[in-house]
Amino acid sequence: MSKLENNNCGTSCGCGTQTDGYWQDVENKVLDPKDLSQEFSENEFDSFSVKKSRRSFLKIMGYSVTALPLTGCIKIPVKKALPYLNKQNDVIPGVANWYASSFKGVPVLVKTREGRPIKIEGNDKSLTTFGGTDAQGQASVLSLYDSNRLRSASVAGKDVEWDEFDKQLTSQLSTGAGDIVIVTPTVRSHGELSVLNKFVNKFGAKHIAYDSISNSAFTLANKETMGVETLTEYDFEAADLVVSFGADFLGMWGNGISSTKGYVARRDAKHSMGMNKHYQLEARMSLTGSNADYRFTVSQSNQKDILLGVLAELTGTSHTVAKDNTETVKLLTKELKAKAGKSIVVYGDNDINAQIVVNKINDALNNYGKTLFVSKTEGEVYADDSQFEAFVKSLSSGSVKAVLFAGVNPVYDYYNSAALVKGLDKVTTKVSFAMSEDETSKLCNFLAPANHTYESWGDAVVTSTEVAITQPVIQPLFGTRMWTESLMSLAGEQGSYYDLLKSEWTSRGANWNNFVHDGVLAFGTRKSASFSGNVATAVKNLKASMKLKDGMNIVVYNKYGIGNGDMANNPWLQEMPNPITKGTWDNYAMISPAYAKENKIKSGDIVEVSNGTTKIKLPAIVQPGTEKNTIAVALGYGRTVGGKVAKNLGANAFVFVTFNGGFDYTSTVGTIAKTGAFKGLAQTQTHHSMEGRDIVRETTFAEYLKNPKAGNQVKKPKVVHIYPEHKKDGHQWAMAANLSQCTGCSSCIISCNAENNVPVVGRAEVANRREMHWLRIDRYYKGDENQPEVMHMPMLCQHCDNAPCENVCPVMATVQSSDGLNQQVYNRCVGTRYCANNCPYKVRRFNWFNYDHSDEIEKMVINPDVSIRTRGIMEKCSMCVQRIQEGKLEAKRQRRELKDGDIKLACQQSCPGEGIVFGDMNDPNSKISKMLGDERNYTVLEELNVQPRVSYLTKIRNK
Amino acid sequence: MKKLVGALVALIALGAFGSFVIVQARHLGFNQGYAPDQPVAFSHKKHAGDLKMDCQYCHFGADKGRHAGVPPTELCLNCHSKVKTSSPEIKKLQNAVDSGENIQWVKVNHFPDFAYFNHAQHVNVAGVSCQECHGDVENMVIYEQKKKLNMGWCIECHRDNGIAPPQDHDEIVENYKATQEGYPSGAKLYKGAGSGGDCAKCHY
Repeated sequence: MSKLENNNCGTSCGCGTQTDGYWQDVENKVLDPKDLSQEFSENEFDSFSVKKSRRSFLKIMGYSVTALPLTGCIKIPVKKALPYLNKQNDVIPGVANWYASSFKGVPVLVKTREGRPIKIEGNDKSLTTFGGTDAQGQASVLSLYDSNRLRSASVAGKDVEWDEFDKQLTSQLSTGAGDIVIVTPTVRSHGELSVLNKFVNKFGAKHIAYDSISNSAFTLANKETMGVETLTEYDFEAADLVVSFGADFLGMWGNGISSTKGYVARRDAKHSMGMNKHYQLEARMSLTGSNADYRFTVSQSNQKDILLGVLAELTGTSHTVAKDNTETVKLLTKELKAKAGKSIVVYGDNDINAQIVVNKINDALNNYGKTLFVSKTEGEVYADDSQFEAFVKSLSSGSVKAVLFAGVNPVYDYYNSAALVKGLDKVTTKVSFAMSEDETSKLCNFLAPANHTYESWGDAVVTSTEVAITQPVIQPLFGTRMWTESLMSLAGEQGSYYDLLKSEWTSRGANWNNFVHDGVLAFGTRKSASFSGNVATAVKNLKASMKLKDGMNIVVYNKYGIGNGDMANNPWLQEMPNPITKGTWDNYAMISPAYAKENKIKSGDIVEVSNGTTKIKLPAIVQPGTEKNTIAVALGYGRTVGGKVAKNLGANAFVFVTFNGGFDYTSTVGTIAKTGAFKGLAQTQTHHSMEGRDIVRETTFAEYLKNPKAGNQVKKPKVVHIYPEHKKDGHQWAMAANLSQCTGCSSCIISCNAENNVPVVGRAEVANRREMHWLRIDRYYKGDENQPEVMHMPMLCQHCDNAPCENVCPVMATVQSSDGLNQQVYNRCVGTRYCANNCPYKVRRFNWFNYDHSDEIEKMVINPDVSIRTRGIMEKCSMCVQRIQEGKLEAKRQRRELKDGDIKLACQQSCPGEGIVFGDMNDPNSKISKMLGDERNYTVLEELNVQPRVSYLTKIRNK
Repeated sequence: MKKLVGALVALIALGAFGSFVIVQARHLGFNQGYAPDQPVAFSHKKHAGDLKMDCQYCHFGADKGRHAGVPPTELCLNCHSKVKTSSPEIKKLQNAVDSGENIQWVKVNHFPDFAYFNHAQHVNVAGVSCQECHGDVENMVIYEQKKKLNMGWCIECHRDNGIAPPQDHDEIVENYKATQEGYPSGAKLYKGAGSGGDCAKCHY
C-alpha cells in the first residue's frame, strides 16, 4: 500500500475512504485545474466569422429558413462513375481480397479492397503465431500510405530515372580504390541473403549487419557455448516455470507473438499441464513484468548478483550474494530445481557474459531440447556490434569509398552519431535505400528509395521450422524499387527478384504456388544443441561489471509499438497508449515514486537526464515498480528527420547507449535534475483506482482449484425491472474477455482503429481527454507502489441490455438492436452528449472536430464499409457490426446457417493471447456460451443492472 | 375589415409557404426522375430489352458483393470489337481503351455514405429482381431513376415482405422457404426476429 494520506481515491468528495489496497494516481491528485481551464480554445470557432450577437443569430436563422425550400429545387451535384478500363478477374468491387504476406517476420494476411490494402490480420496457418499479430504489424498498413515517403531515385538531390541511377552508381562503385560496405539489419531471409552475396561478390564489398537495438550478445553467447550463432527459440507452452531477468518477452523482446501465444496458453487454469508460474525481476515496469505472478523490483546490478547466485547454487561455482538478495536466490533456486527440464530462464540485457551464464543455468536445469532450442537455418546473418564499431572507426582513415545503408538509420540510432557523421564526410559514395527521408539518407548522395513491405517480394525466416513469404499486395505507390532489386541491378544480375526468389524456393523443393497462397511453409528441422564451454570467464567479467559508479542508473528500453523508431511516423502507434504508463506521443524519464517524493519531482516536470557528456530534456513520469536508483527512458523518439508525425517528438535516448564489446543499454550512470519547466503528459489514464468497486475480480490458482468461483462470489444484487425485458430470440451476440489471458499488449486497439476508421486526434487532444479509441485497456495497480500488482482490462462499449445511454438520447440515436447490440446511429445523432455522460463505463467518444482525412494518400487506408464520422457525432464500439453483417451474408450466400467462429471481431482476431471471445449466446455449443457459463464469468458494475453483453472472466494469478 | 383580410392573406401566404418548406425539405436529396445524358449514348432498351442480355453480364457484382458495378470498358468490347465498330459511339469505347483515358459516366443512383447497401443480399439471397428497385430498365433508352430510393421506400418494401417489424421471425422463415430453392430442408436462414428494422442493419 502506498503511503498516501487523506482521501485515497483522489476525488474531491473528501470521504477519505481507504479501499482494499487499490490506489489511484501516483501523486494522489486528479487533474491540474490549469489543464481544465484550457479545455475550450478561444479560437475554436474561428472559421465562423460571424459576430456573435442576438441580432446576427436571428439574421442567420431567417436566412436559413428562407433558403431551405430553395435547396429542394436543386438537384444534387453531378457525380461521375468511373468503371475499370480492364478489370482483373479476381477483383469484384465491394468484395475484399485477401493475400498472405509478412511484416517484420510475422506472417500476416492483408485485406485489400479494390486493390488497396486496408487491414492486416494474423495468418492463422502459421504454426508460430497462429494468427496473432502485434501493434506494429497492425499499424504497418498505415505506414504504406505515408505521404512522406520518397517518390523517386535521386543523385545529389536531383531526381533521376532508375536506369540513369544504376549507371551512375555502378560507375562510382567500380572505379577508384577503397572499400565498399553495405550495412543492413540482421538478415533472416534466404532471398535477401542470396542477393547480398551476389552484390558482395561482384564488388568485393563487405556486408555488416547492424541492429540499433541489438541482440548480438544472445547470438554470440550461443555461438560460444552452444556452437551456433543464432537466437534461442523458446517453447513457453512447455514451461511450468518462467524466470525472467528484465526480459520483456511478451513485448518487443524476441518473438513476442509466439512467446505470448505459448505463455498465455499456460495462463489458462484449465490447461492440461496446469498453470505456469512466472517470476520477473526488473528495474522498470515492463509489459511482461505487469503480467508476472511474482514481480520483484530489482536494480540492474542486483539482477546480475541474483543471476550469479542462482548459477552458484545450481552448479557449485562460488559467488557471495549480497545480503538483500539471498532470499530471492534461495526462492528462485528452489523453484527452478523443482522444475528442471520444464522451465525457462531468460535475461533481457544485451550482455554476453550474462547470456553465457543464463545458457549455463538453462543447461544445468536440463532445459535445452525441452523448452529451449538453438538451431540455425542458412538464411540468417546476425549483427555483431563490434563489426559496426570497427566500421565507424575505419571511416576516419578514409579507406572506405562507398557505403550503402539498407533498412538502417545509424545516424539517428547509433550512440556515437557524431563520429559516424564525421567519418561519412570522407566517403564519396553514400547510398541510402530508405523508404522515406531519414537522418542517414539526408547525408547520402545516392537515394534509392525502397518499396514498402507490402509492395515487395521477399521471404522471412520465422523460426527454424517455418518461413514466410512476403508478397506485394499493391503496385508501388511511388517511383520506388525493392532494395533487393536495386542490389541485383547494381550487381548486374539479369531477371527480377521475384524470379530469383521463386527459383530459390523451388530448388529447395517448395511448391511455389502453395507457398504464396498459404504465406507460410514448414521448412527446416528444430535441432537441439548442447552446452559446451566454460563459464568461469563470463562469471568473472559479469562480477566485474556488476558494480556501477555512484549515481542514477540510466536504462534505455525498447518501447512496445515504437521500437527503434523506424515506424515513428505512424500516428496510430504514437497515439496508442503505452500498456503500462498509458502515455502517448512522447517518451519520458521513468522514475520511482520513492525517488520522486524525495526529490520533489512530479509527473510532467521537465527533467534533464545526463550521463556527464550528453544531456537530454524530457518530462518525468512517476512510474510505480521502477527501481529507486533507475531512470528508464524509451528509445525510438527524438527523430529530427522523418515526417511530420515523427519529427521532434520526445528526445533521443540512443545517446545513452554505450559499447562494452556489444551495445549496452543498461549500464550508463548519470544524473537527473529538475529544470523547473512543466509539460503535461498526454496520458489516457491518470486515475488508477477502482474506488472500492470490484471492477477487476481476481483470485489465485490455489484458491481457484479449491473453488472455481473464488474471487467471484459476489452476491448478486436484487434487481427490479422497470422496463420490459428484451425478447432474446434469434442470434444474440455477446463477448467475453478472459482477464487471465489479456497481457495488455494493445494490438487490439490498433486493429480496432484500422477496422473502424477511428481518427487520430493528436497529443493536445489526448491531453484534453478526447482520445477516440473505441477500445481501451484499463490498467489498475494494487499493493506496494514499489512492487505493485498490475491488472489489465479491455474496456469497450458493454452493449448493455438496459443501456443507460439509450433512454437519455433525445433523438433515439442510440438504440438496442434485436440481436442485442447497442447501436449508435450517426445520421440521427445531434451531439447532445447526454449518452456519454450517462454511460457508467465511459466508453463513448465524441467528435469534437472534423478529424483530418484530407491526405489523398493516407485516406486510402479507410475501410469503405464503415462511415467516417464528422464533427458533433458520438461514436463507440459497434461490435464490428460490419463484420457481423458480412458473416451473415456469406452464410446466406452459401445457403447454410451461421457457424460459431464465422464472425471474428477486429480486436478478437488480432489478440495474440486469444483472450477475447465473441459469438451467439443462444447457440449452446458456441465458445461464448461456454464462457458465459464459466464460474469465473462476471460483468462489470453488475449492481447497476445495466446487463452488459460484454463479460469478463476473473484473473487468476499462480500464487 | 381591410385589416382582417390583410391578416388573413398574410396568414394563408405564410401557411402556404410553410407547407411548401416542409414538403420540399422532406424531399431534400430525392432524385426520382433523374435521367442525365451520358457521355456514350448507351441504350439499356437495346441491350437488356431487345437483345435480352442478362443484367449481370455487365453488372457482374450484383450477386457477389456490395456493388453491382459499372461494367469495365473492355467488357463492352467483348462484343463491340466485332459489332458496330464503325459507330462513333463505339469508337469512344475503343478510344478509351487505347488511350487509357476512361469514360466518365454520370452517376444516377446516389446512395449516401452513412448507409450501407449490399446488392448480393438482395439479388443473390433474397432473389429480388433488378426491376424491383431500378424500374423497367429494359424499356429505358436513357437510364432514369424510377424509384425514390430513400429510406422510407426501403423500409416499406421490407415491411411488405415481412423482413422488418412488425412481422416476426417465423413468418420470415416461411416466406423465405416459399421463395427459395436449394435450401437444406428445415434449415433456418434468418434467426433474427424481424431484424431488418434495426438501425445498424444499414447504418454503421
